[in-house]
Amino acid sequence: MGVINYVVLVILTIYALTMVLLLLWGLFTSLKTRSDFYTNKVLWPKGTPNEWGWSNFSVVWQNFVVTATNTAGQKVKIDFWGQVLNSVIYSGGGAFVAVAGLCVSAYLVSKYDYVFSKIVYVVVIVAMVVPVIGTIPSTLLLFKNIGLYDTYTGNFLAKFSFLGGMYFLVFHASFENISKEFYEAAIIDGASEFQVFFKIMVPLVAPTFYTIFLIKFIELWNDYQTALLYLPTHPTLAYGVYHMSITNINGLSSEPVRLASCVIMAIPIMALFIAFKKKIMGNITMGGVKE
Amino acid sequence: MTIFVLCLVAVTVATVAVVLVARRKRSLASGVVSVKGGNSTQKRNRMIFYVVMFALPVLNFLVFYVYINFQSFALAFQRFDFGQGYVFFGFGNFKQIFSDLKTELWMQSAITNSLGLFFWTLIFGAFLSVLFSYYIFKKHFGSEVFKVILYLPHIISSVVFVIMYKYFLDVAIPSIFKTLWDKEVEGLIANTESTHLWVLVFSIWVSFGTQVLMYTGAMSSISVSVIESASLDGVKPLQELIFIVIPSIWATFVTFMVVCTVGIFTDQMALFSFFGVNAEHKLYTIGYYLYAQAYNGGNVDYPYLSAVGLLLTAIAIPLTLTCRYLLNKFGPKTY
Repeated sequence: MGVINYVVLVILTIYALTMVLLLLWGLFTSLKTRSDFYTNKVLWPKGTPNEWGWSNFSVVWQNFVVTATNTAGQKVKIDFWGQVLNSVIYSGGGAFVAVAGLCVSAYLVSKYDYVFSKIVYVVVIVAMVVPVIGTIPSTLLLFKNIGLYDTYTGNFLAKFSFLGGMYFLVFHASFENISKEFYEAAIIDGASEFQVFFKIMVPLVAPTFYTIFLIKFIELWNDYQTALLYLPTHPTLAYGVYHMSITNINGLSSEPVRLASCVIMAIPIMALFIAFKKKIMGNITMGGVKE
Repeated sequence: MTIFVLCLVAVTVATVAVVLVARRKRSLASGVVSVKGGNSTQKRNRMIFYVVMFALPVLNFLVFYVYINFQSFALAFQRFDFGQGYVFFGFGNFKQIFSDLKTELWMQSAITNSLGLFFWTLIFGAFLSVLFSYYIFKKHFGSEVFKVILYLPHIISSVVFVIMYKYFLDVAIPSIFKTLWDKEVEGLIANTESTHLWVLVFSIWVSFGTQVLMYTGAMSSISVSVIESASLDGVKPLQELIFIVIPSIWATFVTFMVVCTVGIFTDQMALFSFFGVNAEHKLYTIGYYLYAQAYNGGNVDYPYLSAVGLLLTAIAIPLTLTCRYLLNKFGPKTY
């Protein structure tokens, strides 16, 4: 290791310490009682684990309510479990729709050499390179005019482009690497185009599909701003945590309780990350094709 | 609107059918389904499959990208009238923007802070990301652990990090000062003199993950024999980084620089997570202003926001294309 690597090691160690210490402090603080926190703001909770503030988490389950107003002007209350359900639907459904759409588009562009495929590919590249800013008002107006506002269907259809983005290119590269012999053999055996796609091509890119799905799921689980704008009466857990951090309601104003809600939100996604770390952080590659 | 959508669908299907019928050629690339091979039934089936499967993605693109951009463009030249809805307003919104540039603190701050964020992200974020990636690529001590820790801000929600960070700086830091030095200090975020600095630090602190993943991915495609022969020739790590690794990952680096340039106009600097719609004007960035106003505003505000977006797009497009051109032209070459 040269001098540069020792310097980088020092910087990385400091960075890692700041990250880990902050997360540990957040975890420890979420386990403190209010009285403990007032006198002990920095260190781990006092006393034995039985004396720690485990009730902070039950306060969150019981009082973690978001009140939203729907398009008819009615107040709607969504509790903790409602927000969890919304998060699962938004993240899981959104990730699946987005990735499936990209997979289909990339397959058609890479495998069918119509001129339209080439046009689409050029359009995708241009759309990626050319930035467009400030379209939120236009999108909101369109959503409201065609009845997609505040609906999951609308969000799944509209917010996830099926023709563009980095993951389109990843799928495109994966399909390009699949030999045409798979297709020809299947057609000779009497398979239809649909059967070739769903029973042969999709399983071959399953690892890529799976990895991108995980990445999108995590991204959507943590995203509260899209749900805030386009799904106001379907608040997700991320929005609930944000909402709680800027309001003082129902016993949720103390720092230990707020940090308990952060811990609750982080745990599922950390568990998912630990379980699928290699998939998420590895290089995205396609499934095995051997000739 | 329904008629418009139906017309779009009809135009799309007709266009696809015309192109398919009019032009056919056999592709020389391996693995591509030739549209010329097979009997007429197979060709028809291929075409039906192609049209049916492409219909929704194309419609999605036409409505939610093309139409939205056109509507945004049109909205920029309108204003909202409570009796008539959106009416033509000419360049009125743009005149207001240029007037606000001279008089409104939030707009001046937004531009200054956005450029400042870009500058510091470039200096620290881009530079350190390359160094971190190189360290991880060489699999030095702790590289796997560091890789995971660098990526954590992309796993755990930014809201969670903001809340922990804010409370740590506003609650724990003053407590530490009081305990160790018996000194009363205000929280670093609560103190208006230091809010901007520590919010900026947060933005850079959480920004490394994706860049490091992408750079290490690009570095992994460098030929092992090149690295080994350089090592045999006595090349030092810094020389290896500058003359071999950076040129090899230059395309990826350019991509991130272009994304960073666009970020001047879109990056919120996590202000909405920190303060909601109530950030002080002197903290504004362009990205924060656009989102906060869209969230908090209504029909009256949309034309002005669309005009701001259009103006920024007109600046961003040549800026990013120029940035890309210059980096590709004057960047290192691999031979």
